[in-house]
Amino acid sequence: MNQDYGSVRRLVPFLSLIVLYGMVIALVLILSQQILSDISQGMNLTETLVLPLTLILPLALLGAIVYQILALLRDRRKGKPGTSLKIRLTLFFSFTALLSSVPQAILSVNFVDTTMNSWFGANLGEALDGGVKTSLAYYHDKAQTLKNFAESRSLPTLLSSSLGGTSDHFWDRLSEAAPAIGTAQLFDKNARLILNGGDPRGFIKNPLILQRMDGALPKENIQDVSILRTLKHFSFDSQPYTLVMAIILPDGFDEVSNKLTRARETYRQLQKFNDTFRSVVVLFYIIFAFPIFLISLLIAFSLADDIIRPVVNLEEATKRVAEGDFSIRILTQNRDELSTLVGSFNAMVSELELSRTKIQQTEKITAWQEIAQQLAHELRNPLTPIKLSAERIIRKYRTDPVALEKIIEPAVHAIVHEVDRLDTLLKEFSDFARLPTPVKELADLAELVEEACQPWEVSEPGVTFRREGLQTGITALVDRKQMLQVFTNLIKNAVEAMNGLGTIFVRSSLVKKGYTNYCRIQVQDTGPGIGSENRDRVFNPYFTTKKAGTGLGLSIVERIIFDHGGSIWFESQPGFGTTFFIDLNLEKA
Amino acid sequence: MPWSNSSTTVLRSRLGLLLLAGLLGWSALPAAALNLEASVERKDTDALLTIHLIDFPRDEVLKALSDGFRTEIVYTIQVLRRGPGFLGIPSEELLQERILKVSARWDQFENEYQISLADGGQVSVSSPGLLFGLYTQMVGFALDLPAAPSGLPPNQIKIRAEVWPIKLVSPLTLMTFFSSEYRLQSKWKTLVLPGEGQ
Repeated sequence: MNQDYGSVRRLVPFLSLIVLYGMVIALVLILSQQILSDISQGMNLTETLVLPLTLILPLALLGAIVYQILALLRDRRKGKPGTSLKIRLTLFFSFTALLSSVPQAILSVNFVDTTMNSWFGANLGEALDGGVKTSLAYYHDKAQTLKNFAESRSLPTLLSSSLGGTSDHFWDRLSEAAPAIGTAQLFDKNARLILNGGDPRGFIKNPLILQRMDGALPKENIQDVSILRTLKHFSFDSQPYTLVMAIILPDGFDEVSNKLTRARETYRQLQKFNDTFRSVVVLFYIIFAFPIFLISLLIAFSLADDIIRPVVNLEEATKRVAEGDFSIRILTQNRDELSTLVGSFNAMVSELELSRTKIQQTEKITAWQEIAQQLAHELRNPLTPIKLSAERIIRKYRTDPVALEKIIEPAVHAIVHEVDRLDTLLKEFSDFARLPTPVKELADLAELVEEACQPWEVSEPGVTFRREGLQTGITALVDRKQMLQVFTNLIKNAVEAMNGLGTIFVRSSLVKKGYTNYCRIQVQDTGPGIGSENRDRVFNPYFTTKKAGTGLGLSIVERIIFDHGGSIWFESQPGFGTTFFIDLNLEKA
Repeated sequence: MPWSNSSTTVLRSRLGLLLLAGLLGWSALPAAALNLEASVERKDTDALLTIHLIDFPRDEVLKALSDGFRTEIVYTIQVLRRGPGFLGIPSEELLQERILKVSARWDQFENEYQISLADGGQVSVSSPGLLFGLYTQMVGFALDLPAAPSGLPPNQIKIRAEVWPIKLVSPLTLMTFFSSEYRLQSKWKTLVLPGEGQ
């Protein structure tokens, strides 16, 4: 159940990006649809929703990508694990997205281009031109027919012979003479209709037209019908007459002509702006595709993160192991090859930890064996003078009891002295062996060093103390008492090494090993230094070059530092002095 | 931060500004020059508008008409109430917006120019002189004036004109997004309605 929950939680960032990807695509599709709709309605594009698409959305996505790139560069400069791999993966995914989108773009633009060229090819243009020309020819033919007949010499004769007759007679004669004429109306001087004939749709409704001069009248459109008319004034027997003749064009002629004209206009525009429009299509494609490409880049970043996470965890864990931390384990809920690698790594570290524990146990046994030997050796040293003194007293008592008085006191003194020495030896051993578990608290390391220096500064006037870089405020979790003992022992060793005359330098600085921060404290003396023959034994119990020393001081120091998770070592140059270095872990001391 | 040394930061800032300016500039390309003169008279509840277009691209339009294309002028007219708004800050309240379209084409059947007027009427003229006389101006267009929700009458009219030398068909109108040569646009002209204070 927990594993399922963890898997879902791990997928959340990736799923969020997928959702964002879907939203961006939906937004692009909606906006593009809106734009195309606005275009078809002839709206002004700058007042549509283009602006958010072309400006705000890409800018927001671009900002997110720039942030990711800057973070990546910062990680690279800091040497964060997995950065180079992440850069390579991101570049790979980005190029993949680009390489797949470029052919699509070319294909889409070519498709639009080819479609337009095939739809609006030369044949269509010729057909449209032909259609318009035919319409025009038909129209002009009808108009010319009207004009010619109106100006024909036979028309006055036909009219004069029809006057006084019936409309049917008039129309029969006129349609016989000019079959193309659709209607005819003859008015007298008072605009009163005298004769008429033909399709009533062609009759004029407004008598004011009769006041016009001879010639073609404006074309009239009534519903689907277009009517061409011509007007002619005559005079018979000093009486003026007006003849109006019309040709009714076929139903829908005007509408079809208009559609043809419009279609030809569209065709000509597409031909005229073909090249420009192709560039515009490319630009629009870029506008719509750019945000999608940007979101692909963001997904590339996220994918790269997801892929390198186990590798980064492995790298970090390897460093921790190299630093000696065998407790680290990598958690993984994947079931892929990388998780198998992580499992193997965890098993390897467990084995290493087990081996190290065994080695440490072996070393501990060996160390205690050595200590036991040393202790036995040290215990044997005072026993010899005790035995000798006791034997001397007994021998004197047996051979010369009178003279016993002379030797009894120095012999007993010698025994007591050696017993005292044994007592001291055993007490220090007890201290060393039963060093209590540190009780850690946050303590200012500079203050502890200062506290250790001050008594020696007072009691040893021949020794000069110099503090370099000893800054307060650097705190660590330590047992104050034990740490004070460490610094006191080191300063005591330094003072004794210089025979109370010289300079002791105390320094502190911050160092970083891997990802761990340490405070490094140095105690340097100007004594004779440690000979190369003794360097390997400096921290061994009971090793000392001093007559009064027990040889446990530096062993105790090393033990305390070890218990605090730190490290201690020294550098020495005969004739110039010795420097002891202590690194204390600031994070988990 | 180590990477934010001054020269690099300045360079990045400038590149960013250039990019932003480019995008902004591209998305709001200025239209070519077109000016208009306008006046307004009040007649009862109506406003009578007279608009003249100046710097009208006659040659371009004539060429388009002779090539068989349609040409169009679009007037956007806004009726406003301008006055003190929230905290006395001057504000404009849009009461009405009218889009008026006037188009012209060459009628090759009748061999004359046909003008479709804003009020829906059609006029045919035979010469370019007559065409431009009618086409590039709108005289005495009656605009009814609505009252503001506050009951106060409008006191300002804004007019903007757009000229399409060739009235582009869809989807060629996409081209106007990238270039202003296909659609000339004037700046907004503000007229104060007589008889109404600001």
